[in-house]
Amino acid sequence: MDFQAQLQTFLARVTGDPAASIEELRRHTQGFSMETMSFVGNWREAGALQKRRLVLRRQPEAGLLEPYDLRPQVAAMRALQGVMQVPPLLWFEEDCAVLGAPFYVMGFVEGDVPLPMVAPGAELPIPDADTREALAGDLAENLVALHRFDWRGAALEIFAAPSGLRQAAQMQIDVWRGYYERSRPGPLPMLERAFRELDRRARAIAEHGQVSIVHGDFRTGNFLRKDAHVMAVLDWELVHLGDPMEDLAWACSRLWRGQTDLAGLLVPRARFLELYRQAGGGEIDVARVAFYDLLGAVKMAAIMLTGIRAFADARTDDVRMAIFAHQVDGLNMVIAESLGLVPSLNN
Amino acid sequence: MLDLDRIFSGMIRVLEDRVLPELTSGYARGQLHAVLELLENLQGRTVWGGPLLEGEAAMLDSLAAEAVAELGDPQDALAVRLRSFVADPPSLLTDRVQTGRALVCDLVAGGHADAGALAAMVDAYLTNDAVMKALGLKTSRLAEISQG
Repeated sequence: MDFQAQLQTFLARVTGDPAASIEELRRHTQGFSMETMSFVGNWREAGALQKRRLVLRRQPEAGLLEPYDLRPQVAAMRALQGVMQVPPLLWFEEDCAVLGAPFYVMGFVEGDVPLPMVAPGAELPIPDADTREALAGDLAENLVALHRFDWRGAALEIFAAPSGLRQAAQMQIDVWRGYYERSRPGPLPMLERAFRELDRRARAIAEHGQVSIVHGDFRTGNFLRKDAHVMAVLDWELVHLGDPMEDLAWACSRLWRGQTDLAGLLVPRARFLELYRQAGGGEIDVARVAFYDLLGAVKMAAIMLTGIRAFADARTDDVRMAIFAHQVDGLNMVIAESLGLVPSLNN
Repeated sequence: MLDLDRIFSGMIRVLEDRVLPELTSGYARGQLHAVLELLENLQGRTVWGGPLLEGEAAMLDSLAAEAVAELGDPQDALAVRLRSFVADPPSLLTDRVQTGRALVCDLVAGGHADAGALAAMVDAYLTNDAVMKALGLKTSRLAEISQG
């Protein structure tokens, strides 16, 4: 049975309509991790014909965030419906026999995804400054809603809960050191230096403080927008419980600023932090943001090394993974900046 | 460093299996077949090298020599390895770089680069190497790669 027929069988099962059908099945190349497809599903529900555009995200065979486990992101997206802008999650299937790998299906959300990339001298992805300011404000409000969500009352027992902020920091170091150790092609002095510094800084973080749901990849490129409104925050693969400063640092990281001083190519970094504070996110802890800024650069390197390893071991033929072998060299500058070895190019 | 044969085989496979079937122009198909033949014949005949790697190797040589002088105990296992590296470095450039990097990692992991002169030396190597490699990078096509 081909993929479309398998998907149709699945749709018939979950909707209870044996005549359910799909059309306009398309594979999307955006993103480097989960496989993404869109299609239109047709089925009858309580006698009425439903025709809905849907998005399917399937676990890849190998890739940047392996080993994959879709359950945490599904749990988070389910828990956060109505709390912030999250795509409507319809079905989750863990059985690999259905479509070859675990997957979930979401409702299609209208909007475009601005990317955090701009060529030198080129126009910003969102040229209008007022739109960028308003969009950054809406993004900050969504982030605050996520961080203020009472996860203890939700069905999120799949997440490992840190006892406090110092342990949260140490857990993230351990996660990314694990990725690094499993995938590194050889000795990498800059990363060794960075991990040692992270260990040192983590010891100085106070344990007490608010532990939140952390998106883990909250940034320009991972949300849909219409004009100045966030329509849906996407890409929940890295969601976990931790320090809210982690999302702030990642959203403002040098990684997503191009050659500008604009966090996510939207507003200046300091302005985004202020928007978060104004939205009710509480005071910004500069030292913890700096810790997670360094962790973010290290995390990006570990993700790239994981993709390189998958390609090197011939577990994927996606040559996009191979480009990370030289991009890690560029990333070393970002790590050097976070370590204070080179002056910040823009803040 | 990613194995060059693997890079070549990956490029060849994607061009042959994914790109070629999509090409309808006879001229483009002919050019692509020529590219494939070039890649197939480069495979197995190339090694990593060039000024960036040679530059890093030179920096590692200097750092190792300075680190030997800084480490107090000459019988220390790391000091012995550093002296050996300085006196008789691996002849293959890639091995020399990998061995040198491993020594720097051990200096860092052992706490020798936490403070003082050795910390400054290690940070200088890391900074200079990062700047040199970043300057050598071509403008990324990541936006085009993401969007198709």
